[in-house]
Amino acid sequence: MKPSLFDRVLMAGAIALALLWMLPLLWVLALSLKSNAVLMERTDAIFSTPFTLRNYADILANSAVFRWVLNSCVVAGVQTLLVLLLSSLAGYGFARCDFRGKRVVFALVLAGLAVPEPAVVIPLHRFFAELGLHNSYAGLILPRLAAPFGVFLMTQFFKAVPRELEEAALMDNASRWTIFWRVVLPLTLPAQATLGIFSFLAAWNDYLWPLISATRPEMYTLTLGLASTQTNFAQSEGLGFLMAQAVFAALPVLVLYAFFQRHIVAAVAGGKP
Amino acid sequence: MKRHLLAFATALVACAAQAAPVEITLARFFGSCDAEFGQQTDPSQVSSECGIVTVLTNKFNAQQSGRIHVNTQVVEHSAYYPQLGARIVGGDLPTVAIMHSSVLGDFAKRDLLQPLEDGLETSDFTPHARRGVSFGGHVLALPYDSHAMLWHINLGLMKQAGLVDAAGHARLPTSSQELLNQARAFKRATGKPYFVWLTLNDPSFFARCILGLVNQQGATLFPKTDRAIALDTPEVKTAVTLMRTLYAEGLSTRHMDYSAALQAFMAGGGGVMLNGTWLLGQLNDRAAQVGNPLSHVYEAVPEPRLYAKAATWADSHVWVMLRNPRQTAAERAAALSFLRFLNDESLAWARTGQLPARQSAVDSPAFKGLPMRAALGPVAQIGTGLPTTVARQARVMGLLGDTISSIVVSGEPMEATLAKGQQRINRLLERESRFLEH
Repeated sequence: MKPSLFDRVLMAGAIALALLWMLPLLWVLALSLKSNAVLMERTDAIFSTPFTLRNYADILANSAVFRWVLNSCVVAGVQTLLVLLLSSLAGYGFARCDFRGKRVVFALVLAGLAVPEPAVVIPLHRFFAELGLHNSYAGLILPRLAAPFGVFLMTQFFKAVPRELEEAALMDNASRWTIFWRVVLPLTLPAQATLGIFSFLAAWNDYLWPLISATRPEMYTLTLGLASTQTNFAQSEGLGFLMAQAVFAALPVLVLYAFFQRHIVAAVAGGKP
Repeated sequence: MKRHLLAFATALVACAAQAAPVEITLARFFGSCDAEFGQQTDPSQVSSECGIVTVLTNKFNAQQSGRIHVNTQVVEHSAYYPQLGARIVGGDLPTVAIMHSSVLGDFAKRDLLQPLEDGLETSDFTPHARRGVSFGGHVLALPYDSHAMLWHINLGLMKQAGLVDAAGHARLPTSSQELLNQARAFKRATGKPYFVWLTLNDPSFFARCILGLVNQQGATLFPKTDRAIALDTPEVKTAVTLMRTLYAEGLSTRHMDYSAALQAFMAGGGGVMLNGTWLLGQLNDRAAQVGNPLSHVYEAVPEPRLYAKAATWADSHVWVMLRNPRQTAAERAAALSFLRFLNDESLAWARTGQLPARQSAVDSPAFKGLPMRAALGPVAQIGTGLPTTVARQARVMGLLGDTISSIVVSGEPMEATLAKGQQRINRLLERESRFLEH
């Protein structure tokens, strides 16, 4: 069947919007392939040759960068897994278990959504200083495990799962844990994927907490490490390098997206992979 | 046998002591360039801020090998102070840290800094540098440089406008009226604005300009107390009127942030760019090359005197040692040794374009032999900032800049906007004062 005129217009509009969305990204990529000296004089130099990979070579010449990538992978990976686990458990508890004070506790969790990070960052920093956990993976990961949004999302999702499924499992003498692990949790995969994406991206791009918790260069995450290499007037004197850093920092996330694209699209669209 | 064991133990301890130099940490901005200069120990081969401070640290570590080792902890410039604040609260203190002298007061009022006059020779500091680090009779930091606003000049365009003297230098205005006349003549002759201004996303530009112009009239922004700014004075209005006229008549560029202004100046988009000493090296390198609008037609001079006295905004990078109850005597001695080394290497840092904080270095032939530097000596004398005791100076300068920008760029009414700006700044200072009292 030939697409209708409306469909064609819609498609053309979507393509135009996609190009518009991609334009800044292409601009960043193009800037990253030009030398800093050239960009200091004129940024429209990206429309002409020569291009260079020097900025990327400069990033890789810093031996610490691989350590920073590793740190980011550990922090973002472990944090995402733990957030998924804790949010799922808490969400299931709020959705399915009755206990005293449940509503108050749930309200307190939701209140966490309204607390801005800068309001708690100093007490949190002092607390972790007293525990001696700064400059460690634990210090970078633990504060981010309290995820009110994750608990809320999973609670709502568990509530939407039909109770009949659990009752059927109960009839078969399944324990509460078995029901959670074998029956209900697999049904929440779209929500897990959504939460996982948000958690991973938040951890990968996190800057404020690593900034004040990791003061030793060997414990820097990638965002922090790359930022530390920027000179004071990087926006004019080192624009190409700055943009190369942005591309470099985004690469692992893009690779991850390429691998899990099907799941991510399904999760966001609410369908099956 | 016992004697042999004792000798063996002593030798072991001595070896251990030799193998374990005193470790100190150095918190700073300027970027990290270990990849490029990690093995370099000769500062004369480098000219960037990042490069020179890295190489100087390498040199010190090499000289003190086995005795002292400096571990550098680099943080991006805009995040540096928030991190330092958090580290102080959490007790994770660097041994030595860099700061701007304009923020030193906030740390001094909270008694967070160690006095250094016992460990450093302070008599050679320039007047501007000394003012910036002296609090309550103590020297609380080692001044490392003075950086100030300069007039970066495109002599090619100035010549085209007939604004060059017989020696080939720019003919600088000596009054606000002469400045307007020159700027108008420049625009008529070249079709370009006289000034390249940073009018977007850079409120400190306007704050620095106003500070210099008000001081040139013999006035101050804090005439009564360090807790109350006065923006309703005739001197402030005179300065703002001058800037507003320049902008309104198209005698300055418009809608340019830092990068755009720099690009415009390098592309020959205006006669004079008001910007910092830190650009000297780059622009000079640019001028040394052929085939660009600045080729052999660039010079930099201190802001000219338009009113009763010479004055220009200036700040300093300073090195401090934070109070740390856990610091050992050996660490303190090592840190002071590093500071003395940096002080001795003042001239190496001056190669970045910053002005030395030591008068002997400013007066030295080696400094004057650097490009443009001979003309910049006076900045060490005329550099001015907010009074050192004014709190939250970065925020105050930001609010001041926003206020002036509203009038000059957005065309807001002067009287009302100045009054509003004054109120906002004084409210901030009042809050800070109440906080410190409690």
